[in-house]
Amino acid sequence: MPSLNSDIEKYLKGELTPAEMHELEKKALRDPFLAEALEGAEQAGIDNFTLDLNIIRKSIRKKSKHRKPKIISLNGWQLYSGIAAGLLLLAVSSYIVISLIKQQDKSEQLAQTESTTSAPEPTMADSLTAQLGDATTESATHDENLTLGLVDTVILADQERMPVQPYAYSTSDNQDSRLATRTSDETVPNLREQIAGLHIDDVINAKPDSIAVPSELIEPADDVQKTSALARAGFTESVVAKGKVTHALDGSPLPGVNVVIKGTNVGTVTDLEGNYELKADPGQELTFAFIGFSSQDIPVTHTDHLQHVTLTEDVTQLSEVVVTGYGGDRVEREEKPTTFEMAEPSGGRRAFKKYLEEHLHYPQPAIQNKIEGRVTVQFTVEPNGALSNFKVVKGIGHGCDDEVIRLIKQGPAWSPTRKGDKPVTDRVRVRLRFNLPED
Amino acid sequence: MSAGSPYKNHADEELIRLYRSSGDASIVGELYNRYTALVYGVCMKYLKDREESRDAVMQIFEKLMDSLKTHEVNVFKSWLYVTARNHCLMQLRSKKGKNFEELSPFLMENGSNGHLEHGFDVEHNLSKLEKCMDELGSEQKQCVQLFYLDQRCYKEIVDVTGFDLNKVKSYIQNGKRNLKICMEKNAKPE
Repeated sequence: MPSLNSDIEKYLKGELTPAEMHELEKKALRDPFLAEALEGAEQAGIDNFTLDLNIIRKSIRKKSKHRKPKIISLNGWQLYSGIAAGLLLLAVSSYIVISLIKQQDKSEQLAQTESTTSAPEPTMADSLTAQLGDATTESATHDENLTLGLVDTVILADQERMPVQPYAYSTSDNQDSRLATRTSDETVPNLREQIAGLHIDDVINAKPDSIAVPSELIEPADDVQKTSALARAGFTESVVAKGKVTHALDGSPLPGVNVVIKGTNVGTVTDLEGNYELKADPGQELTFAFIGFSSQDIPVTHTDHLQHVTLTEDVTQLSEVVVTGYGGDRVEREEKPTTFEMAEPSGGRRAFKKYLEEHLHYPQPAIQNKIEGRVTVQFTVEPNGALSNFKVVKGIGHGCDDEVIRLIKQGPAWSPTRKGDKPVTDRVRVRLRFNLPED
Repeated sequence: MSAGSPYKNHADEELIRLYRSSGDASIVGELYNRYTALVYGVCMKYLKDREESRDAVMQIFEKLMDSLKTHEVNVFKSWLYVTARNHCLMQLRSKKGKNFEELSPFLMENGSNGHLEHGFDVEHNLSKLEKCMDELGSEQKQCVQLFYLDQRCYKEIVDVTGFDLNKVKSYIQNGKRNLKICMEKNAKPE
């Protein structure tokens, strides 16, 4: 592997022939690493560059000598106690894992039966209907397919617990009210306990279309589910967060987007079609980032559904990122934005013009020197509305330029330019004409 | 480093492998030494301060010593570039709070280095190239010709054309890009 170190030094010192210089320059066009290094080296100045490299070389030598390779052979008792500690740790952690699995088994069973609702076991249904009163029996047979499946899940998961007071869901309106009054008093308190232990929310959420659950019954249950879910946050299962990242403007897929679990260094990158897949915990956030685009933070949801993300270009970031001439096959930056709202002073441009004219203080030195004319001032409106980077594009001096700047700064607030819905940085020019007062 | 280094002819990736198995720090030191000028240059470009850059180079070395042991690194040079850059950007960000974007290390690993000029079927494309050259602006055309066809270096081009050095670089880069676009456009009907 050829070392570029000496070549760079020679290049800077002018010790290379023009042909050699050309070769290095050509390499730099292809290699962004080299290109940036050359820029930085020029900044340092050639003598400093050489000096600093020597210092660095010495430090590296020092560093690489101190660190001896880790010798893995331990003394006798250290080794054995190490092994013993390891085994103990293993035993304890397996115990924890096993008890966790036991708890999760129940919810897994729930998930399993959820998918098999199409083929409910008739025996379960029978014993179930026997427990319920006549009214519920009617509804059970009435909406057999629907209710049986769901009731199944309740029963299966609760096998170890007390006898189930099952909760028959019904889509028929008539039955609803009867059911509600009949079962609510007795069953809901018991049910709450049971629901707390189950992930019935998965069941409910999974079939929103097919079930019209009486609302007054759902609400108390919901709260319980929420709090219990929160309380059990430590035991929530990981989900596989996946989806597609596309460009906000045209929906085209964005490959190479950085997807990172916020606060960690775990992440992935979207593939050529913009798809990503990442294991995360609900409650965590995924940060989607790509150069030239505004990052997005998306929370990880409980379920495994697809989470698509759209990213919009951010002019701010583009202007601060150093472009180093990679291959030209990146996202072209000549996108046509769909909507564009220009930056505006609050109250509108006409009102602003009025404000300028009314509050203009013709500077004394300008009056004395009979100075009049047009002043053009340019400034930046930040996405948060702040004004910065005041620059006099065309001025007439004698305090007039400063006067315009003063007027702008002390004037109404500006709303930033919006590209789509996103505020962006933009530059604004204000022109003001100074006319000497008639004497 | 000593000219008689036993590792002089080993490829970067080989050195990494040796380092991982032996844990010998002098190996990774040898590897890093090949790139110190590049890393230092990049740090200077972003941090603009000599002392800070020197420190950064050493900090990146430390990072390297740990990361190489635990991470899979495909192309060391690209990985190093991204790591160095990110280190500098993070430092700048903590100083000024500007909105810099970090390059994902995952992104860089997949060899987006120097693939600009692969697969150029010479005969087939020469006539297209002539046509595309003619479509360039005159300054771009001139600089591209001087640089690529006449193999001149920047200094010489500046002397011949009278253009500013940065302009020359810009003409060459933009000319090159336009040529590429033009060539790809013409290649489509195949």
